[in-house]
Amino acid sequence: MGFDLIGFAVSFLSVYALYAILAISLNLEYGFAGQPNFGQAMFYGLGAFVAGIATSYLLPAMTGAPAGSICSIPMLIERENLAVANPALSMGIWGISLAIATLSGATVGLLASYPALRVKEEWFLSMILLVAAQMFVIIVRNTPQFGCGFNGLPGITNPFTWLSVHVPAIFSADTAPALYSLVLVAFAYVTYKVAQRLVNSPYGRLLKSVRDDPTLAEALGKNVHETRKQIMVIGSALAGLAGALYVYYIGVASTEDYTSTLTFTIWVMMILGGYANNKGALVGAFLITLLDRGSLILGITLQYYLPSFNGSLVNYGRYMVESVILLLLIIYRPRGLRREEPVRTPAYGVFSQEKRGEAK
Amino acid sequence: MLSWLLGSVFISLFTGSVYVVASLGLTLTLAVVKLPNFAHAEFLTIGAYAGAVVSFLFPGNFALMSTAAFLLCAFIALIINTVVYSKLISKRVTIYILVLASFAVAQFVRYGVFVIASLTGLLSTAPDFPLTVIANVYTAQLTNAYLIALVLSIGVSVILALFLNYTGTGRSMRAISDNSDLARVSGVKYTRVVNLMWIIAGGLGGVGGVILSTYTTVTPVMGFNLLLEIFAVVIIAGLTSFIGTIVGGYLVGFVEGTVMAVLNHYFGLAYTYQPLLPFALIIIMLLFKPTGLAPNVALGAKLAKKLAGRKK
Repeated sequence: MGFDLIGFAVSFLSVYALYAILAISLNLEYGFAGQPNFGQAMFYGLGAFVAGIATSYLLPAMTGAPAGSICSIPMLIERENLAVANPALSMGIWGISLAIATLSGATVGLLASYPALRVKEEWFLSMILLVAAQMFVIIVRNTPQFGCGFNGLPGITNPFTWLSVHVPAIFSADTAPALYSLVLVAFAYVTYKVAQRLVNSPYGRLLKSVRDDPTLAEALGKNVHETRKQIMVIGSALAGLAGALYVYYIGVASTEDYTSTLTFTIWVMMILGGYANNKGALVGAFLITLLDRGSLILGITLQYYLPSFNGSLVNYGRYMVESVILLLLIIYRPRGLRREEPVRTPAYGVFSQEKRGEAK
Repeated sequence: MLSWLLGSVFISLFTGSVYVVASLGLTLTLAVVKLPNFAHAEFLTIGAYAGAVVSFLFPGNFALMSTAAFLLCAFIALIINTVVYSKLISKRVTIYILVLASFAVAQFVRYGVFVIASLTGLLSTAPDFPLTVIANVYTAQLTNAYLIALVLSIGVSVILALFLNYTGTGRSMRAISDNSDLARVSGVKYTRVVNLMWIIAGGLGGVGGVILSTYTTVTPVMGFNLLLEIFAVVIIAGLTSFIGTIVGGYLVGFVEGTVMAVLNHYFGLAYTYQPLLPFALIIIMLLFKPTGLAPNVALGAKLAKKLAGRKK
């Protein structure tokens, strides 16, 4: 049985980078600001669909090619040809789609924050977002006018597809995905850096104060409501960006990928890595990617050696393992693998140096 | 003329009855341990499977089917409480962690059922429970399952309300619901009463699953697909009221059946959008009337007030 090492590395890196962005996004919302978002999959799916639809319309429109139904097979092939023939255009549209998807994530986050922050009991917020995510899936799945309905929107080509015709044949299948996985990792790295910068600033301290004691924060003259709204917009924009990045990796926008199971997986990553710790979010995302890809390979291998083996059993097992990990964590180690760190603002640096000086 | 409308009202009554039985257990959980148990819907799945397996041995015996479902689900509820929930509740974790834990339990149970069902070849099955048509009501049929659901929903709610109001154990349950620390100090056997609560809640979920299985296919996601509908019912009930649960159950049934039929008939809304209606109901209720539509009967109002006081 030949093992496609490059293919595995590419898929591992891509999935890891996407999970990392999602985990950081939820960590900002829940870990730092205490806003439980049980509708993360909706923002992720929204980004994916918006980016997919934007590319599918923009690509023929910008080249002057005849426009047809974006779901049809001829148009799908047409788009692929256009993407290969116009490298600069295909990459430009990719950038535009990412921007639109991020913006739409932010907008819907802002809209959702209006009702969500006005509920009486705190878990109602989780309930509203969970229900909204479910509604999103039902509407997109049953409305073929946008997103092609149940089968999903196909033919969203990788922005580097044009490279594959310029390299030797043996590498041609891997070039574009490999390059794209590196781009994804770069995005995840930038997200991590930005998130670190954000939380290690006075704003990060504000977030934590809103989380720990909203009444106190309000007494100190902070606008709790506004802060919660802001962090929800930031988190949703990041989730939208991740969704847009994902759809170019997988090539098809299908509602199957954006159910509450995914939301749960993101929560597991965040709790596993450590609440209010971005490094922890990276660790959690890594471990869950390992579980995700590992179960995939285990399933394929078992099915290869034991043809009668039912491959979906491994998939079921993956979800059971995930649930057990979460339960063990919240019962025995609620703070996750990495503990929360102090906010490292410049003032904190001066303070800790002074303190060290005093100790000597 | 309009017989489709009257027929759909009749069907809504049936769906509503199923929702009432399926949701009473969740109302009880919310009232006593204040836990939004997202794993409650899995009791429906397990109950439906238990009922189906029993019906293969004893075809058409509803009493036996629901007894088996009640016992199995009660047992599983007890295990879940001992292994997970009681530990978390005694640690006084935040409500979000409880929600998350119940999600994890739900996912574990669901995929556990998937594994067992795919190993036994029961991924999609139906109980051996022949439906007999007793009468035709406009476009709908009055079947034996319909009658059972109607009687069970009313009977179970009345018995539960009587149990909570007029027995010692019921009073202990309400005491825990009011203030669990105070109840413990006053000598209420906390663990025993909470365990009994889980037996009733899980068991009722299982019985709800058996009724549900008489007219839908039994699959591992059968309960999960109804999760948010059940939450719609308890939210309409103001989370803790049994009379409210009856109101909520029939209201959700009515919205899903009759309102949907009207929307379909006059506006051409496809039936695939049906779940959107109860979901919209949840959001509207949470935003505008989070205390629910429960009639202001002393017990329900008192419990609702206490639960609203719970923070984090």
